[in-house]
Amino acid sequence: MSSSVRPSGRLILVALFSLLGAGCFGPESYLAQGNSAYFRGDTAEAAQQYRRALDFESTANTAALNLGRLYFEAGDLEKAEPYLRSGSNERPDFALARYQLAVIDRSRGELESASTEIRKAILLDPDFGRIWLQEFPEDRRARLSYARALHRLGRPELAAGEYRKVMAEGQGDVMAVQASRALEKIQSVTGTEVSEEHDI
Amino acid sequence: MREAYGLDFRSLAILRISLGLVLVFNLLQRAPDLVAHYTSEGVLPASIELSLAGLEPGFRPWSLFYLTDSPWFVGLAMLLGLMGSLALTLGYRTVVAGWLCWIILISLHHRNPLLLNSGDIYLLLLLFWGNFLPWGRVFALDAPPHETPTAKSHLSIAGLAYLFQICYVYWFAALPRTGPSWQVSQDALYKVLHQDGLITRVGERFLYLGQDWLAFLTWSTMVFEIVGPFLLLTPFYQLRLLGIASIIGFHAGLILVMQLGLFPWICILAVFGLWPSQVWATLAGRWLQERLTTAFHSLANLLSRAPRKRTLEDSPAERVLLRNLVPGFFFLLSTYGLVGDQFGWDQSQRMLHFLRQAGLHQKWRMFSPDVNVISGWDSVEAVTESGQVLDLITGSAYPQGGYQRRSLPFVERRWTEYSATLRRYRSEPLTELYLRYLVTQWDRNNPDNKIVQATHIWHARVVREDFLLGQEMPQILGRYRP
Repeated sequence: MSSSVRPSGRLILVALFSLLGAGCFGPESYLAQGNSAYFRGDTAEAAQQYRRALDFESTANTAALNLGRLYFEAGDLEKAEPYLRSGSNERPDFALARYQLAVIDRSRGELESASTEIRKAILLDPDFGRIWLQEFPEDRRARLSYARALHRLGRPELAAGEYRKVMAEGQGDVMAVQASRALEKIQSVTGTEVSEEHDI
Repeated sequence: MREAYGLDFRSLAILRISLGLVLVFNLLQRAPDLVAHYTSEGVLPASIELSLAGLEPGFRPWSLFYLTDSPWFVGLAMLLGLMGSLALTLGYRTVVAGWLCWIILISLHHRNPLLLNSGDIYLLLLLFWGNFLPWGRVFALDAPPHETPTAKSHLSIAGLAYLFQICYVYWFAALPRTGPSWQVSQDALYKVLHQDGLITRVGERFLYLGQDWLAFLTWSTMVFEIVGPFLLLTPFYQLRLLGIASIIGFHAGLILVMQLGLFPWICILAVFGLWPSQVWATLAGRWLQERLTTAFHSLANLLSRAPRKRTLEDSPAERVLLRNLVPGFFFLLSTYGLVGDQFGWDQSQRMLHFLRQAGLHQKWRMFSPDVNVISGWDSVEAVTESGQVLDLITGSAYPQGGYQRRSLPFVERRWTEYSATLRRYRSEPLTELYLRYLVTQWDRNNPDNKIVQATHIWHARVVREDFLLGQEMPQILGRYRP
């Protein structure tokens, strides 16, 4: 069978497809395939792809975090924990993993560890404070962290509301005193009694 | 000059035919949602649209559909547009048909600007410049009968405006891309390919290439958008052909990876009018010319059209006014508006409003200055009297569990555009109207199980680097209150 493609053209085509092929089968390809399966709702396939990506140094960290999330969302907290822990060690700035670790720790009754993790999560992304407090409104340390994060974000009205809740629930303990001081600071800056702001 | 920059009459005719067909398709595509999008019974009644401040402050657009937005009138006008599009395709009373299409199209645009995408704007612009070109002289019912088209070309300011219009789409898409994803990290394409509702299954596969290849493709896109159009401006037909082929190839690629509605198709047909005469001398060119000539002669005979005295040449008045002076004025104004917008010049509001009224106000800021790192999809979570929870957009049971992508069929692209625009405007009255429309539709079809509450939710998620799954941040865009 004769071919209309010249030898030099054929060589270029082979080189091009080899390069593309190399890209397709690179470790990032496993992550991409895993994500694709995850968005389709095919968790088994996603887990398989992430596990493949775990074998490569360049993708192991992301794979661990994605795999941890996958198990977490499936409700398998035992399996999720080691992946989230190892991923978070390498990537301490990923708030979601911190939040998920806090949930896992809390479910095991490790309140101190949960508190540390959720405060780290709130520091990275204050929105996790809101989510956490919806679930655990009695966690005053998290509420105090949340209020501080809101204050730093330039939302003094919202922060004041949270400080007030910490004070109301604390009856003059250390956290209530801290909240009271922070509230005074807000009021001295604004010069008026801060009214509560409702988040939308 | 004419040899280098003149537009072949046959290529212009191909542009007219393909543009006419796209117009037909465009109107047919709009037809199923005619009542929803353009009438008093839809998501945006004219009285409310005109009373809403903020869509474009201080701007009162014109539209035939402001006369009345009753369904029968809108339907009639659409039918008129459809007939105009068919007449344009066939080259029957080309000038009248072309301007009729333009009036209907711009009226639709002004009537519901929330539905528009880049493809709509480009289609209108091409139609506008095309109407100043002699694109109905060959392969048309208006063409002189029994005359075989020859390699004659047309040179005018209207032609240059059309040529530069094509270049502007790419140059002014590339220039505002100053964000780090385009200029530093080169991960723009990686982020684009994570935009839900925009990416095809093939596009998802492109992510498998990995970040390095995607960075190379990001860089290539920028180079293409800046350099490609310059090829169209060279006097050498081989380079012009290369420019045309690269534009067609680029958009064919886009069709494969992204769901952009008619935009890439319009970009492809836009360059048809630039085919150099040499293309018509090739075997394929001669074959096409023969077929089209025969088809149009047969059609003219079938319709027993009386021969027209029209020739390929313009009358002096046509040449001066229609081909040069008038389009020249609009071209300068349009260019000034576009360049001024890009470089932040203080432009007269009157001029901008005039450009908007003429449909010449253009911006090509796609994924600029940077690609949005928030992606997601819309749902309308509704609860019925019987307690059933459903998504009013799809009409099926509300999806439970984790984040799942939802892709819409091609015909529903306009609804996607509409949702995207609602998110941009963050307008409570508009969202409420949208919800009210969806609820009314459901209640009409299910009188025994009416909706008691509905919430429009944007399932946003952060696109993270390195294939890390970003967190979800569902946002409530609006609620339906009975």
